[in-house]
Parts: sequence; C-alpha cells; structure tokens
Amino acid sequence: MKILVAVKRVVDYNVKVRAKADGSAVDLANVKMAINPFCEIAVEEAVRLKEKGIASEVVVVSLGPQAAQEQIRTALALGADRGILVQAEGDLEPLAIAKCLKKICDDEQPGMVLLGKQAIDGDNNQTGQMLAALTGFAQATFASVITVEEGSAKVTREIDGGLQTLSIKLPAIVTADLRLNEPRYASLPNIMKAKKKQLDTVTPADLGVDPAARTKLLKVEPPAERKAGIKVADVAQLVDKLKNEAKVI
Amino acid sequence: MDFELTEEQMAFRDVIRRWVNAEAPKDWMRELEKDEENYPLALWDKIAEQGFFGIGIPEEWGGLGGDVMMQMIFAREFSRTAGGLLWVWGLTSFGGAKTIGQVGTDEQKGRWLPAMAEGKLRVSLSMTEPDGGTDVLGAMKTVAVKTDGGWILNGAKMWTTGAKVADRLLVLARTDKNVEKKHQGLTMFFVDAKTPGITSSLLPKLGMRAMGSCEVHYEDVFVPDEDVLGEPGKAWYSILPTLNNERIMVGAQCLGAIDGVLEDAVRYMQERKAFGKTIGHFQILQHYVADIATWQQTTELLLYYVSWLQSQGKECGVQANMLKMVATENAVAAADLGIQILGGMGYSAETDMQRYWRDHRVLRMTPISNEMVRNSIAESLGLPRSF
Repeated sequence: MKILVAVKRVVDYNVKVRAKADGSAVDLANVKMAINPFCEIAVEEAVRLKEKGIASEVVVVSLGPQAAQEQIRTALALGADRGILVQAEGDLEPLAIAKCLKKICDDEQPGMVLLGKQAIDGDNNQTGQMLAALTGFAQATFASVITVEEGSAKVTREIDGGLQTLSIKLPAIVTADLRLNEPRYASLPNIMKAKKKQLDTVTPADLGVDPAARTKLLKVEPPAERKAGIKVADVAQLVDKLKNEAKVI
Repeated sequence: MDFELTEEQMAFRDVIRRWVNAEAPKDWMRELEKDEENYPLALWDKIAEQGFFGIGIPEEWGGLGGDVMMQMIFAREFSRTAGGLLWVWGLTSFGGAKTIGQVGTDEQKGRWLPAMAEGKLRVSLSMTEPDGGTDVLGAMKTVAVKTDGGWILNGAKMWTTGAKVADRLLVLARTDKNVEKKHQGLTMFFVDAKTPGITSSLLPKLGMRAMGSCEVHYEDVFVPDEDVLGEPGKAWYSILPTLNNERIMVGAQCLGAIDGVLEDAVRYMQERKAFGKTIGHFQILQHYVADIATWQQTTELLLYYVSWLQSQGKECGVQANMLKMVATENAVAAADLGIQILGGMGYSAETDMQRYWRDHRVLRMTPISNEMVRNSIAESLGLPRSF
C-alpha cells in the first residue's frame, strides 16, 4: 500500500509571531520556518506503517514556495521515500490545496492519505475533509490510533468528551491529532540520504488547478495584551472579587 | 564566498536544537552539573539513546558518519544548554574515537569504535601530570616498561575527567628515556579501567563539577600489547593531527555558551523591571548585549573558517589556535557580562550565568593556555620561540 502524506511549511512553533506594522499579514521576514507539527506526526505514522511492512512506499507532498523543499527534505530524513513539491507563491486556500492533492491522488493511487488535522498558522482544519469530499474516500479525522487491517482501517478519534473508534474502508483520508505518536529525531545518516531522494516539482497549473484565492484577508492584528493580575490576601477576598468585580459566581 | 551552512548541516542543526530543548534543557543541566559526587549517567543514556556518540565515527564502524563540521554543529547546539557537560559526549565520541580512528588498527577499531558509537564504552583522557600541565612533556614521569605480552605502567595523572566511570583510559606514558627530544619515546595506551593497580580520587573544582575530574594512580598496571595505540615511542606524532580538531571543538563549545548567555540576558532584559520599565530600556545594558552579540558573531566566523579549512584538508594550526583564544576569552567575557546584567540573579545557583562562567573559565587554560597560544602565534610570525 502506498501512503501519501501532505505536509505544510509554517512558522516554527517556537517562534513568537508578530503582525506586520500595516496589519496586512504575519511578518515572515527572517522568521524560522518548519514542518507543521501535526504534519510531522502524519509523516511519522506513515514511516512506522512502512517499518511494520504495511506500507510499501511513503510519498510526501507539500504545496508552497520553492523553499517548502526544506520541509519535504525533513520528511524524507524522517524516512519518507520521495517527495512532490507543488510550487505556488502566496497563500493557498484549503480548497485549492485539496484540489491539487485530489489530482495527485488520481496519479499516485495511494491506499491512504495522511494529513495533519490542521496547520498551526491558519488553523483551518479543512484540507483533509475537503480532500475526502473530492476523492470520495472514507475519512477519519483527529486520529490518535491507526490500525490497518485487510482493505480497511480502524481509527480512534479524539472527540469532545472522549474517544470514538471508526472502521473505514481503504483508500481513506486520515488526519493526525497530537497524541497519534511522538515523531523521532532524524538521524544524521538519514539527513544525508534525504538529499539524494527523488523530489519532483510541479505547479497547480500542471495539475489543472486554479489557485486563486476566494477569500480576502482584511487584517492581521496581535491579540489584545493581557492586563496584569492582582494578588488577593485570602479566600474570602477571592470569592468577593469573583462575585462582585468579575461577576462570574 | 558562501557563509551559509549546507541544507544537510542546517537540517542536522535543527534536529539537535529540538533534541536539546526537549531532552537536555538548561534547568536539568544545571541540576546535574552541581552534583560533584555523581557523574551524569542519565545524560549519557539520553545521548546514547539517539546514537549521538556515533557522530564523527564512520558508518562502517557503527557510527553515524559526519565530519568535523557536523561535530562542531552538535557541540555548539549541545553546549548552549550543557556548557561543560558537553564533554560527557566529547571525551568518548570526540577525544577517544578521534584518536582510535587516527592511529588504531582495523582490529582495534572493530573492538572499540562500535561500542563507543553505541554508548557502551566510556573513555577518559589521562595525559596531564601533577608536576605540569603546559609543560606536559617536561613534567611527564609516567613510564611503561616492556614485559612479556605487554607493558607495565607506573605513574600518576591529574585532571583525568570522568575517571571513576570510565571503561577505558587513554594514557600517555614514556617508554624510552634515551631520546634526543622530549616528544620522542612516548607511547599511548588504551587501558582497561578495571585493571588492578588503578586508583582514582576526585579533585573538586570550580566548574564542570559533575564531570568528576580525578587524580589517577597507576601502580604496576599491566597493559596487553593489543591495547597499545599506534607505534610505541611515536605517540606524539599521532596526537598532533587531533589538536586542530580539539581547538575547533573548544571553539564550538564556547560559541554554544555565548548563544546560551545571550538568549538568557536578552530575555531577562525584556522581563525584569526597574525604575518603572523593563531593564532592556537602559542603554548601558543594551551596550552589554551588543558586545556579547558581536563576540558571538566574531567567534562564529572564526569557527566556521577554521572548520572549513580543516574539512578541506588545508593547514590551519595558527588559525585554530587563534580560534581557541578568541572563543574562550569571548565566552568568559560574555558570561561575566551576563552575570552583571542579571545582577544578584546572575550570581545565583538558580540561573545559568554563573555556570557558563565557571564552566568556561577553565578553557582559558586548557587544553592549552591562551598564553601558550599567543607564544605559538608569535612564533608563526617568524619570531624566536619564547619559552
């Protein structure tokens, strides 16, 4: 079974992001970029499935600028076999991404598509679901356990109030939640080997997709600064403040 | 000219940085370092878990491969939090493995390198003697005499770091007294630390406390022939090629420390308030961190340059010495200013500034004193030897 994994280039989660002064976008100048953490978990899961002999090949796809190659190489260093970069400048919306991935699914015929449940930049949480709609594949989002069986998979999902286990037919779209696994640290030999692995570049036009945005970004602004807290002398004062000032009890 | 790291080097740096932040953070390193009596075996195991002892050991001998640039990247990133505890990794993976890689026979490499790469063999370096550090050859009294099937070793060594937990001790001893020059007639032994006749006692010190530096006595210690490294009597010639790499590692360690100092200083300046505003508003403190950042940059440039020369096989003895001097003096100066910026908190054992200062102060004297470094730089300009 071939597994396709989609990865996104985002601002590294350790970076404190800042809005541009004119409020037009997040300031990306000289900011460290990295693979989206949920996407990395998806890559790790695919590599583990390959190590168990369940997957035969792991193909990594990213959509973004030429520099998104770095994130594909990161995934290759973790153990993926080859990469595809859909090179496109500017912000891509989930629907455009899902359409590109749909075309790649047509070409690659994967048994499973693994994605992060969402990217930490836009927090859209849409691409996996849209791809399922476009391909007609079964979908299981927010996966914390994936068990592949003959022609199907059992996926445990993290939902409000507990866990839900689905049985889905393959091919399927599965999106990874935080607790699915803990990604490994790429080893030095695998980092060196990643450079030699195949990485093809295509454009949305090659895939017959118009990546033009359908929404318009109006403004980006930092969250309001949190006001300083106060110290209370005792429980009685706390209860009084909660009741009369905060009015929450 | 290209000052960028390669894609692989950057990827490796990112992996190490992530590992350091998650698995070897500063507060843990601070706790480990304090404990003079106990070598940080838990840190050893963490490093072994990821196979990092194999960095620089060829893949054919069970290592991860990687050249001096990769070792430098690891050392810089790790010492950002670990400071002097870098040598938990360095003594074995760098000190021991480098020497065996240079002079060991294939049989010896097969016997030791895979175990070292796996983190199953710990090495200590036993070179300096009680009567002299800088004049190591003039002060050397440790002798080994040939006997049937091996050698009998007698003498004492100082500052053998990690001796109490070592599996093997790399010992330099005189095996021939009838020589014209002091650097002749020396032999290197890779001694099994469990051999009868070896005793060690802890030497408490200012920094790198948990590393457990010891005075080690060798009394009629039998070393079999198969544990002699290189040709007997010619050890000095096998040490020389490792010296540039050692300077590079010290440079990388100091740069990592400067990285650690700078980030702590800037964060503190953004948080700590005095006179109604954060202390980062004060010009004098801004100048302090500007100096630290400039030292960081100059150290980095020299470090990358020397590492590049070395990895290209070019002559770099003088530049490696310059790097050692600049990096160690910058690291100590940066930590010293760092303490000043943090004030009382910088002097507190609850922050890392004092640890950066203590751990790196020693590097102005070791592995070679900065005064000796200046002597040799001056000599390279055509001036007479001054010592």
